[in-house]
Amino acid sequence: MKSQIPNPKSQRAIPDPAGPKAFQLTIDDLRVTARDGDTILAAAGRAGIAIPTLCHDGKLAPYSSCWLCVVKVKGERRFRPACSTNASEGMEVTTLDDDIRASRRLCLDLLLSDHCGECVPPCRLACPSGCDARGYLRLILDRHYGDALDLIRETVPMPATIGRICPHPCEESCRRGVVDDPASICALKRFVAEKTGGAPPPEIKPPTGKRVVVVGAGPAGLSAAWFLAREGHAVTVFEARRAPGGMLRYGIPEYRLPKAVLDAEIDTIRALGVEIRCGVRVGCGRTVSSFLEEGHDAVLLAVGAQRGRMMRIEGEDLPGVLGGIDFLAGVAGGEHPALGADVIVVGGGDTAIDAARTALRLGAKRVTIVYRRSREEMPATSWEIAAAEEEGIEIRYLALPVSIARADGRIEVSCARMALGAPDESGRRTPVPVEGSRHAVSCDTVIMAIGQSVDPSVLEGSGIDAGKGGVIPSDDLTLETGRAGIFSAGDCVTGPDIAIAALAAGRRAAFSIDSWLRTGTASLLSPLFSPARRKNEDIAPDEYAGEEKIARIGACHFAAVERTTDFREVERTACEEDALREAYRCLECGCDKADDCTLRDLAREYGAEGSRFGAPAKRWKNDDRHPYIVRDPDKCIKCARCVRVCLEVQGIGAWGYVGRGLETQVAPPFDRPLQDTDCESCGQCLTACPTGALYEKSDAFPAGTREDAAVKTVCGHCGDGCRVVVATSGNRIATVRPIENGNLCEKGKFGCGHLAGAERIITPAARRGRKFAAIGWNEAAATVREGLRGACPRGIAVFVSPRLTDAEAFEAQRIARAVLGTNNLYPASGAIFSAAAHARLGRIVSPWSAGEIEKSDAVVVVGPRIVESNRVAVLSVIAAARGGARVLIVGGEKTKLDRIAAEKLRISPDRFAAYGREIAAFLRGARRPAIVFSRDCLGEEAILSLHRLAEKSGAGIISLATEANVQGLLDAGVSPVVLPGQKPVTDLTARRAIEKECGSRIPAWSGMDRAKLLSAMRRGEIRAALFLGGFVPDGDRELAAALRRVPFVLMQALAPSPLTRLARVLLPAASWVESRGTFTRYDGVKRSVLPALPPLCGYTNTEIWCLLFPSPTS
Amino acid sequence: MKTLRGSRFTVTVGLGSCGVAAGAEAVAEAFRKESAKRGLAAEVGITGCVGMCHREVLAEVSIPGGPLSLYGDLTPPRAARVVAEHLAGGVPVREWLVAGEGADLSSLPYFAKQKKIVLRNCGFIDPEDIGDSVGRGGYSALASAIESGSPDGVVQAVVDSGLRGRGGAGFPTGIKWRITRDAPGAEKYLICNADEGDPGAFMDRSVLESDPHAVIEGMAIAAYAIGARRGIIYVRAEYPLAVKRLGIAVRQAEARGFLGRNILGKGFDFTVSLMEGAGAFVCGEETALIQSIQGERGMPRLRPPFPSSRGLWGKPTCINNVETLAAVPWIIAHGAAAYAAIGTPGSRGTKVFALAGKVARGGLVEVPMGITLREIIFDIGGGSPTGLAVKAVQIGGPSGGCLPADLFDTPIDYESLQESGAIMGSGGMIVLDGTSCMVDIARYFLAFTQAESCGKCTFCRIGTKRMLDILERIATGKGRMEDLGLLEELGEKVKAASLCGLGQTAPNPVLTTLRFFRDEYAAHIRDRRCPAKKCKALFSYGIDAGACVGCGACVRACPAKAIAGEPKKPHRLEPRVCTRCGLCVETCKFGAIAAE
Repeated sequence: MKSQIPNPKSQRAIPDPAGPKAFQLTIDDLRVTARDGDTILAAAGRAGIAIPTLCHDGKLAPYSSCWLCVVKVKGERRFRPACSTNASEGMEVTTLDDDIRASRRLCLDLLLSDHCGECVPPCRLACPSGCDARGYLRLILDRHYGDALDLIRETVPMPATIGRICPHPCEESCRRGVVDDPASICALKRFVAEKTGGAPPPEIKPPTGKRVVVVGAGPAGLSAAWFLAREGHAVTVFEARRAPGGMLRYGIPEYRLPKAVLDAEIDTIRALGVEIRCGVRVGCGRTVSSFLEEGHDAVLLAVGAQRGRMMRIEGEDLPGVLGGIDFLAGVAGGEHPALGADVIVVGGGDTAIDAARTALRLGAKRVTIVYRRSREEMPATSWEIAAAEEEGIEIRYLALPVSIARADGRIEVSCARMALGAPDESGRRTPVPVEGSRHAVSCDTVIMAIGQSVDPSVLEGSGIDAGKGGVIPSDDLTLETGRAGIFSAGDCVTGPDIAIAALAAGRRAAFSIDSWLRTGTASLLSPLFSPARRKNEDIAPDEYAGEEKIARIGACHFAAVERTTDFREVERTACEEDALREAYRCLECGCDKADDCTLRDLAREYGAEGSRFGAPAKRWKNDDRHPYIVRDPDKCIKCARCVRVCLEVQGIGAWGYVGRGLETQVAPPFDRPLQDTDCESCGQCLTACPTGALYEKSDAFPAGTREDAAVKTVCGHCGDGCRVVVATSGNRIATVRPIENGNLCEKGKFGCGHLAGAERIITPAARRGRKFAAIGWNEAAATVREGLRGACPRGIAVFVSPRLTDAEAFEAQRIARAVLGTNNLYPASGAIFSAAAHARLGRIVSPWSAGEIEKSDAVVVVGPRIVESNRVAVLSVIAAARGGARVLIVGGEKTKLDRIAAEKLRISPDRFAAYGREIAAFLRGARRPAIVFSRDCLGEEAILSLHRLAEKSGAGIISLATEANVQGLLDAGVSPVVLPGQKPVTDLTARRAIEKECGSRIPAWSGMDRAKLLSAMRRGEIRAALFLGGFVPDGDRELAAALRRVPFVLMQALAPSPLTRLARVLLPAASWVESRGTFTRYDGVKRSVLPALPPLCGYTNTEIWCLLFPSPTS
Repeated sequence: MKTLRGSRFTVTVGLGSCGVAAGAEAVAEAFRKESAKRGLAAEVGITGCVGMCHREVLAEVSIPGGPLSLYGDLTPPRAARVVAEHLAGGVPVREWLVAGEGADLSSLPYFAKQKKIVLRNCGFIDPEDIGDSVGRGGYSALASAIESGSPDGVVQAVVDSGLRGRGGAGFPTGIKWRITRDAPGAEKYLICNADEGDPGAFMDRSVLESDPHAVIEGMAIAAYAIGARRGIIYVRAEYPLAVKRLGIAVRQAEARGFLGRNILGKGFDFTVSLMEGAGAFVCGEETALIQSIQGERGMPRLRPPFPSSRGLWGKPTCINNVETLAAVPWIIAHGAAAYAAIGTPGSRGTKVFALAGKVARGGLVEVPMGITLREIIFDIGGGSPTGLAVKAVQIGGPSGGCLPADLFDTPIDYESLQESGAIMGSGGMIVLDGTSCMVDIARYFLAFTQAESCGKCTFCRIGTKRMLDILERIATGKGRMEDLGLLEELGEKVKAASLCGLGQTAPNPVLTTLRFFRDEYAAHIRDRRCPAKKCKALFSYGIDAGACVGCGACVRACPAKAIAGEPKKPHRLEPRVCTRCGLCVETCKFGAIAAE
């Protein structure tokens, strides 16, 4: 398909200056006023009625492809798409009823049935706590261990513990398992915890004044305490046993989880202000109710399931028969029961394995586990079983003790052999005794580890009744027990489960309690929503065929012979090298845009699911050939916003359609690589994409990290002054996006990576020979004093960065004039106007902003270089052309504007005399003509002539600037000829005012113009040149040549460059993402600049100048 | 066919695409060679399609002084015999004569109930010779329109005739012309939509190949009426013969002053250019067609604005279908009243159908509106050739519906068909009997529309595919009863929420078969059985040991080597190897193999 700018003549007409006519219609029984040309969507939006849409984009022409915005119009047989149906007088519209809801839901079901993506990585979905494993693996890879710990602790407050003992369901579903083996997610969690040992606890919110009691200091209770404390609540935990930790302490043996590790993590929770009171059994004596009566605001019951189950067989109560859980608890409490040589452990869960291995470590010679089913059904984790076997423990499968007796000081266990019958509810086959298979086994001790149940005694006196099997009641939606203010969570609600499930339950309970405390209504933490998800079984074998196979670095155990003799921990923490290799194995599943995905948001709202028509399969390969943009065709919903924004707004047309039917793809024509089209890498398509079909390559910004903060500021890359959101993650920029559906170019969207890059200069340096050596700030200041000594004020030149804020520019001006006494003061880039020009034009500022161009019917572009220098302002010219405006271009360069130009004059823009007449002729008869140029790319003569022409022809002038704060610098008097306020240097009154403001005399003579300055430099008359603010004019060859003759050059710079080699002293600078203040746009509009990050070098620019040029008064 | 032209030996072979496909070029060549061999100096000419596809190859033969004789079912050896016996010997070869000596076609039952208006010249003129057309009154309507009628008068005549768009939607043609004429703007376009894409439909192709001048004349009249100076024929590139003959016809019409500047000296300018479509079905939709002409991907957009107010390059554009335009000269020549006298009050005139499927006499038929399906299928088409009862008729192409035999008394008019769940469509008509599986039919048409979706609208792009998935599930015995409800839900939503006619009608074959033949779906799902033995997963072939004589013919025919057996002994068929291609059934002379 030939991409071309849509024929301007076929597009909308120039708007009527009188404004469109208004009329009324009814939307959902509301009388709504709309204007001529409004769509139903626009009219509804104006009335505050939101209609969902995926394909509509306010800055693009209506399209109608997604069919989500369907509404009913009275008298119409079919649904109407609200986005492209014009509202009309008296129309009656229904935007939501059952029919419409059903249609939207089906629409989303269909889109999801063809949307093969994974909003949430499978590992995270599998984790009961929803721990962002992908995120922290990526942070490990980037060696941001502190950030990794913070990320883990968002969901898992005890990473050192969980990193040791978790059966890690995340790894079962790890997509890496499709390639070779799952990533060692659990071991890496432990690595992070160890690596950051002693890290301070996270910040907590201001105290709320609410007091919460948690009953039970097991994983659920501790987790709840942690999250409640972080919300600012005062938490007291009551624990019946002598020490906190619950099953973590009393159920998991030392060799798997050293008590020291557990204690340290509990200490971290205490450090948040959580009080843990041990040895207090709630229920008998102190009741749950009493807490509320004492003025606590909420109570959480998290007492676990700690009562050991018995088999109810004969002889169970004989001495020498121990309960598994009690046995482990006793050992954990310091007991060393005499077990004898032969020990039989009954059961197949983790407790059985733990008991058996503990028995071995206590000196038993022969330990046998008796389990009634086969290994396949055994609930214990497979590697624990393997470790037990390695240590010499025998497991007898398909055997069931039926009675126990004592004989000759030993114990006789009578067992029946079992056969497996039909599967039961759990899907496991039920064991059935084989007739006549009874046999006796003799031993010294029997440990019954067949399960645990809940002890509901905590409820005594609370008025709450225990549920079936003694469990504590808990509402599914609120986690309330039925009594206001009393909540319950963890094993005591669900029965025994793994530790991470208990931590997750504690977190959910904390959320419910917090919402109850804040709002009076308990609400559940919303689960991770992933309408698009796949299981590893659903993955076609070739999908990951290209993935490099890398051996998994699993847990490192000590050898079995070494480890069975004592209770030392059997596993080691991975070393950093291994951890980095393992983190590298992460495939970074999940969708980078899951939190910025309209499809997902709407799926949630309408209850749509991807599985209704079967699981979507991956059908295409991702295209990551472009330097910044990755295309995942399987997530594309064909809304064509990318296609249209590229064509309609950018005037490019790099995207198109390929194929038909379900095989339709949005791709560059002929499926060429995007970078081989006319793509400008502006990222507008990526911003427009409502799903994750287009996303940023992780090279541009680190993937897998979330946004912690987002700051609205102004892009500092060029003079167009685009408003942007800079989102950060830790101390890094996560992404940059336009505000309010605005536009952004390559520089703004992708050009910020270097601001946090490794290249940044962060310490002062002085040149020694050809190399730079780092120096301290004091030494830097001394070197500057030394360099300036002997230079007379007229022999000093100061260059100021046009990316400094207004206040910084004023300060730089003050330093030059009041401290250094020179008027040789220049912007480091851009035009320097003569005194004559100032006299002619008064305040030099653009009368019109670029937005005004769109309302024009005849536009003259003088100097097509603005297509490069002012990429967003130029979009207004394209929009004007789409709206029917005629465009004349003056200048020879070939640009994309040629395609919309009605006329082109291949004359140098500086030769006004050669084209002035043509412009006048072109503008004749125009209703609202406009002339666009960049004042930094055009000679002063041409600029003055264009202003004259505009006055005569009634045209508006748009005088753009190439750098962010060119206007601010000019207004701040960064000029050899004007003072702040663009007052002439020679104006005595103005000078006096400035002197008063600066607190010092300033020179009365005008600075040199650029030509004189350069020749003075070449002659060696300029003894010192100072570049303030970090902008280094690398492209200015004349200046570079002249600078070689200047004995002392001070430069502030963000990163080394060819020009910085000329500096004697090289200093860091704060960039615009690290600064606070205002920028003044070319048209005089001031906008706030806010720091998204603290200055990387530690100081703002003003602070740096304070160090260098201490003010005599301060 | 052609009128008798003189006292010479003439042979005129029907060389439409249908004739060509049946081998007409070889037959013409045989006539030429044989007559030359005998020194007869016979003039071997060509013509278009007379519509009797079931008798192709057709040729008309006359000898000096003799009557016209129309031969059918010709092959090169038969042509040689006709030359020897009829041309040289003067005795017609009776066994291949279509309508006896004198070729009075109207006496044939196939033609008795037809009314030829659009097809008036098809098969009677040499489409590559404008002289033939003019000889039969071609361009006289254009002349009278320009000379006697004002443009408004022409518009009014077409309004009065009651002609409705024959492309499928049935919008009144005269009204469309009036809207375009009244639309502001000096520059207007006329587009002839010749992007006929329905599988099994060939009405437009036949007209373009057999009588291109009727279309060009219709365009010139329309252009005069609406005030267009440029006309574009958007024709399928897959119709090379039509493209070629249209090109010839445009050049000849220009040469005669029927097109170009100052037409017929009356100051009316109109040029026609050809634009070949690239074979996207959706480009038959008018907004997509416009995009395609503008050099963009053919994708429909929401209407309004309609092309008649904002069309090609943003200008008012009238788009008419081939058949519509071909009827226009007749209306102007015979008067609106004559046209309006034919048909029903809501649907005037005639409609051309491509009659195919399980019918004895298939071909291109033009019938007056209001005729019943039964009359077309049985009186014109002669009913089923197999003796099996006709079960249904699929009408309206891939966007149409399947009507059961008990609705065969439905009259052919826009409203009655719409009400029945089918549509008039562009004129495909496929007759089905007991050997047709309705699930299979629905699947076939939906597979077509699904693959032809431009991909823009969610429901059309994905919804039709999900419907197809379900049909495929049902056809392979994996269906569930609740699938039927889901099919209906999806079908209704696809119809309700699609921008263009493709999506708005694509579910029709599924929805009508579900409505009228639900028991067949149920048999597939509940009994895992395909009553028509079409769905390969749901039946198998078996050999009747009593009837099999062990001749081995089936063994040799079977490409899957699923049949084995010793000579002269009953053979066995291995169902797990069998691919159900059915070749063995066709091969067996003893009827021993059948689906079970």
